[in-house]
Amino acid sequence: MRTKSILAGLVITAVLIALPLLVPGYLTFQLSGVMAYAVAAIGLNLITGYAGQISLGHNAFFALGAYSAALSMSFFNVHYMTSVLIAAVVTFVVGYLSGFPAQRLRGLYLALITLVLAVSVSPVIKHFKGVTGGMSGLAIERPSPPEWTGLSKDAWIYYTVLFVTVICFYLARNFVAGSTGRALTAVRAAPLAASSMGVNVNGYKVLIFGLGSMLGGIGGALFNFSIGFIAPDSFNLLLSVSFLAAIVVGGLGTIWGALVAGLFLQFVPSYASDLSEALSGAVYGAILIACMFFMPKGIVGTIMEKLHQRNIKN
Amino acid sequence: MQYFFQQLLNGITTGAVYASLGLALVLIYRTTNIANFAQGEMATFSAFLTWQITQWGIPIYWSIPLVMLISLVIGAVVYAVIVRPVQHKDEMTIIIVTLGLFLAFNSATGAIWGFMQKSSPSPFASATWTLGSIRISAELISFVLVLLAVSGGLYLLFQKTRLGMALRAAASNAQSAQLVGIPYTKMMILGWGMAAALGAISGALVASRLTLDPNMMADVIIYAFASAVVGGMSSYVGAVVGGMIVGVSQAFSTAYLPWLGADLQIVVPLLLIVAVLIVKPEGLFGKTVAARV
Repeated sequence: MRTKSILAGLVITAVLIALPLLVPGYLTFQLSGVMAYAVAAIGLNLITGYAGQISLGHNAFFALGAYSAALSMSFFNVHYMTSVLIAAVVTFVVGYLSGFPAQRLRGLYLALITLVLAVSVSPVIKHFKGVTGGMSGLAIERPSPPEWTGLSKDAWIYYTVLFVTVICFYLARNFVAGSTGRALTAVRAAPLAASSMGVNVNGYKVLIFGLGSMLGGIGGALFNFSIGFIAPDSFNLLLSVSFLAAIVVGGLGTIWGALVAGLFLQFVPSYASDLSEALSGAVYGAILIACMFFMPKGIVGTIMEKLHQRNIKN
Repeated sequence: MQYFFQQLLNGITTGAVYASLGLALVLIYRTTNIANFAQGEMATFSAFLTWQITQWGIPIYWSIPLVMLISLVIGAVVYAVIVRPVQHKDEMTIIIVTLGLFLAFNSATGAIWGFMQKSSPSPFASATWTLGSIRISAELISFVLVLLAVSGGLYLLFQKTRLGMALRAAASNAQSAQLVGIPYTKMMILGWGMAAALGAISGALVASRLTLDPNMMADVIIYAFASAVVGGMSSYVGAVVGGMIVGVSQAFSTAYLPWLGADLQIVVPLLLIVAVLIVKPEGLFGKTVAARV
């Protein structure tokens, strides 16, 4: 079993590294987007899937990460990797602070507060147009490959984003696989039992808001690299709902569900609008409802369950 | 001072719109314990239906009641087909399903009628009177009258009729209600249908103020939620008071805080809501719920 999983890991790593050399440049570009979204999706999955706190404000942290990274690059000329770190710190602090209302509020009320966050982000960006460029957005210099690599820009960005994504997935997996993960599950499923077992319920709720928002921010910063341009209107409420839809489809409370979520966020909107421009929202809505009806555990959750059942039978 | 009262009246007019949709939200929340994020989009759909029917030559005073009836059916069907199967699942599932409905209704409206703005006929007179130096529009009076009629009707229905009592019983204790012979599912279906019909009224109010547009409810639904939540989510009086608070604070921030600029004005009433919720999480008129553990 153990050799098998190591082998699988090696194969996946090899495929991921070889991908930009095998697929067309445009797909490489899209895959960077998938990973940026996936990192943000793990963040929301920590908040919503693991800790059971509904957040409709993930677009705000995605935007905050994207803008703080972009502005630190243009105003302070920091290296693009440093800009990701700055985005992480800023969104962690803001997320941690906005996690405090989450201690007192749950369910619907928390959804409403985060909804306020979701709809406020675009007006705030537009208001400070002197710094953020307002409506017309902000162009970002995409990272260029060093001479010796001989890689295309898209491939270099792919590897940069892959590097950060692997770190984020690794840390998030370890985070939820250990005692913290069990504590979080307890906080979600039975807060009272958790607190009587000595789990600091409020502390965990705030911490998870901070960490989840931080991953959202890192995702936003990576999104900069992949797209090279940000504007307030791309961070609207629909993005938040899409994030939620994506992690539901991928599987709430699963790490790998976030990867499915990234694929979903990158590819479904464009396919849906190919189907019909006006009906893309209806496609989204139908997917959300159908998922809740027929596959409430999401794609990854359902597969894991099947595997688990098979293991038990054997 | 005159400016102050003028702004106050403006705020009350807008507040009446928020309150009317807020009432629909409270109605659904009280009967089925669900916060319906799609309420605004269902109202937009109804407003477009009204427009369509007036286009066919039916006078607006006939088309609004007709659309309320159609909306009642739509609300009932949506509940019976989509909401009922998930009603007793966890809150997250329900919120996600109503968000799905939100997207579906929004894009259905756009797909059927297009995303171009349309001007809709207003059922209200456009006269204004001046009282001293304050302008009072017929719009304000009709909005307030509509709101009073709706809340009065709801009060009479829930407090003075057997049907209202059955609705309340089904909502407060499903099992006991069924034991005394109240058709539980029918009551739930009726609750959703009535809320959708109420939504049709607020759709007509919004459409008469602004132009008809598939996204016209995007802000309104958030403010309506804010109104309902400030009022405690399960109180009709609370929703009306909440609507007034939100509407008036919005009017005052536009009037007295012009340096905020058009973009940030949207945020002011929302911050107020956040403040209320942080200080008093159960809302102004909500009861503190003691959970049995």
